[in-house]
Amino acid sequence: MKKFLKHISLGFLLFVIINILILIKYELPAYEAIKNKTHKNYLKWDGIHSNTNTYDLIILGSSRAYTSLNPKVIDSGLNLKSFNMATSSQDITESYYTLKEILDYQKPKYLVLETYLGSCDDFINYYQVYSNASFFKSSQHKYDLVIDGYGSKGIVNYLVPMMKFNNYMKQDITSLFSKKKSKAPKLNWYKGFHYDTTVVTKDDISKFKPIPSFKNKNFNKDRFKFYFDKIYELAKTNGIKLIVLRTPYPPSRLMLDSNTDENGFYKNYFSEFKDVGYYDLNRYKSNKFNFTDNDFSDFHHANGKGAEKISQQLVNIIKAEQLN
Amino acid sequence: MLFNSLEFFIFLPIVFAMYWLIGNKRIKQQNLLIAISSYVFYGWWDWRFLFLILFSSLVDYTIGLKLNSEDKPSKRKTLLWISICVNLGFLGFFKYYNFFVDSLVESFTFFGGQLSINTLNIILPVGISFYTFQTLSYTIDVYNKKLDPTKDFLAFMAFVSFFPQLVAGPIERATNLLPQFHKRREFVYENAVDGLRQALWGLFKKVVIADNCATYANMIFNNQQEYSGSTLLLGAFFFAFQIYGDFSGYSDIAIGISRLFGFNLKRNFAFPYFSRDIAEFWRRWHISLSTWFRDYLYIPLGGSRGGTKMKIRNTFIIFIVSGFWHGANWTFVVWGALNAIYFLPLLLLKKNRVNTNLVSEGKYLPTLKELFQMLLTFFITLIAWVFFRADNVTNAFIYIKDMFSESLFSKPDILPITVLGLVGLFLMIEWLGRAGEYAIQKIDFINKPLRWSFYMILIILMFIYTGEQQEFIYFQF
Repeated sequence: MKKFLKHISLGFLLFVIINILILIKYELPAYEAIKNKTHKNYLKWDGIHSNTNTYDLIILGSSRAYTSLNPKVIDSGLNLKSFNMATSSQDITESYYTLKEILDYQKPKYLVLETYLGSCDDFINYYQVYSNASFFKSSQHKYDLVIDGYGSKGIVNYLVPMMKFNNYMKQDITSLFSKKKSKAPKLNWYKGFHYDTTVVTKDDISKFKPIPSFKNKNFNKDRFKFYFDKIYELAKTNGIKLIVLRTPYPPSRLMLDSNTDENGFYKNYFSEFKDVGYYDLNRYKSNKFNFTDNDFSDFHHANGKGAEKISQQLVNIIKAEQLN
Repeated sequence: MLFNSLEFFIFLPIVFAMYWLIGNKRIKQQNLLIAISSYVFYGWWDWRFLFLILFSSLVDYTIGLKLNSEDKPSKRKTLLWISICVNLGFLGFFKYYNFFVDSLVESFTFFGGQLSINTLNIILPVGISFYTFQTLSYTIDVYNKKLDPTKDFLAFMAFVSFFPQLVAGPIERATNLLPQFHKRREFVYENAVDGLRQALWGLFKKVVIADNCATYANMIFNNQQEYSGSTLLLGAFFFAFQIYGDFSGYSDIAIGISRLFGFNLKRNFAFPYFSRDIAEFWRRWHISLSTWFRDYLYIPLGGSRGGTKMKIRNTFIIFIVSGFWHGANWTFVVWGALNAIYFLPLLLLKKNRVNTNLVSEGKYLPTLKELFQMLLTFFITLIAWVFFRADNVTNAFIYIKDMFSESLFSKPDILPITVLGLVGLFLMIEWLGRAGEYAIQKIDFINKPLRWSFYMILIILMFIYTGEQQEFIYFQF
């Protein structure tokens, strides 16, 4: 028995050492970015925590939202103050806890929630989720996000770096066999919005795949409904007007899709909430805004030029909602 | 509690420590701990069904004792039938009631009649098919005087509810497992290491192979009308590895964990996808169920001793019942019947025991003939898996029809290279280790640092390539 326990302990120790090495490799750049005040989530949360009760409009969602909705355009179009709190790979569960934390510091009138199939599929990027949550000031919100939000899988991902960083390790392993090295985009942030000047290349366009649909994504409808209801209740209790958006895709990518995309599901689902507006910006006044592939930096992120159009779409939507 | 859950990773070391701290001189206390832990393990899902296991244990324990003291054949038979009716009655009610009601109503409608019986909102108790068969084997063996009944209720309770194999097998025979509860269990380092290694391999099969394949199998089967023939073939391929990784993975974990506690369970899988014909496949797939049906159904029916008609009848009965055991759906019945059709020619031509040895024993590569035989066997099982996985028989036929369309030769709509690579790696390890009880059993020939590195690589792969956590498929059976 002693020998067995000795070997188990040794194996466990080895496992811990490997995890510490992984933690150092992947967390060190983040700590340096926080020290240099360049960490995107740090900057976002600093904006929320330092400017109490300042913002009238808060944007939540994924990177598709923080590259699409420019507070400068929104503020000038609506004469209010907005802040983009969308974060990388933010899913619906994370949006809910992020909103709870924001409401401790802000009293917004509008909440814009960006959602798409990737916001609630079976794939959860725990590193990004916890990177965002690490800047919550409320320990209770952090605890709730990990324990209630993601359950035992969330706990394991929180505690075991090998699990938390598994997507990045996968990418690193894949890159060992790939000649193409990805370039980090130049970062230019304004109130949580990422202004990107990159334009998608013809080569990238030729490799476009159809947009996410129920055909190629395992969308977790139950989880989506559960957390959307919670967001809805929270917004209602705080007198916040909730607007749900799907941001646009490059037109040539959209064309690859059959008629099975998520739009029908959302339209149906949100029609149950009389006081929630749902807008698919791929279709909203599409002639007027005339999106081209040049409005995007890659297969699903808008660039600065595209963001101006998308933000203007939002301005028009809110103006129309105000008239109603 | 799932084997691949945080709860179980806390539960197992606690039970393990307590078990060996009690010491192997106190067999009763150890059995009590096993029974309590097993009830906690099971109650984690739904504590209400613990009463079912307890009741089933009480019935079979009492009947076992009565059978021992009763000499009159008619009374002994009555006792046996009480046990069969109670056990199969529970199984029939919880698992098949709604199916029978629906089928009855549909038959009446088909023949122009009308019948109104309401179905019930019944929750299927996890693992009921497994522990029911386990307790039944005890009563039948006592009845047949192959086994002396136990007088130790605690040991019997622990035998029925033994947590490593309670919910998804292997279905243990009382003749093998029950005596182990009466004996002193020794902690043998080599056995414990072997058990841990087997559990690790099982976990790899479940987490890396089955769960990753499940993502794509679910996607393709749930939207089958959207995909090309080649994608549908890929979907069936992924399901074949999902179910194999899932179920054999569970068995490996169960057997491995049992060894940590000093118990030896029977082997349940023996590299079935390397079978050269369907008869060999069935000697290597879910062995504990196949042998259960062989001993308690096929042989009492006459087995293959009678004429051709009897052989055909018995073969169909055993395969259809086996299919039906898996679930209350016609898809399982068709799956069973299809396997009977595959199997019959071999039986009638007396070629069902041609391939009893290990394929390409002592060689690295199979011959072309063996390769062709293995691929053909795999392909026909793949077709049968479509029925097993489909929601209904109509969808299964449509799936197969669409699969064999022109688009079978087009590029699949989905081509997850990483998952295919993992399956390839897995198959390679299984092939190299096919002489063992499980693929990595004979790894001892490698020196220690390399062996440990291999274990660590498996663990790292499990964390990196973990699929979305899915419940073990066989829990629903």
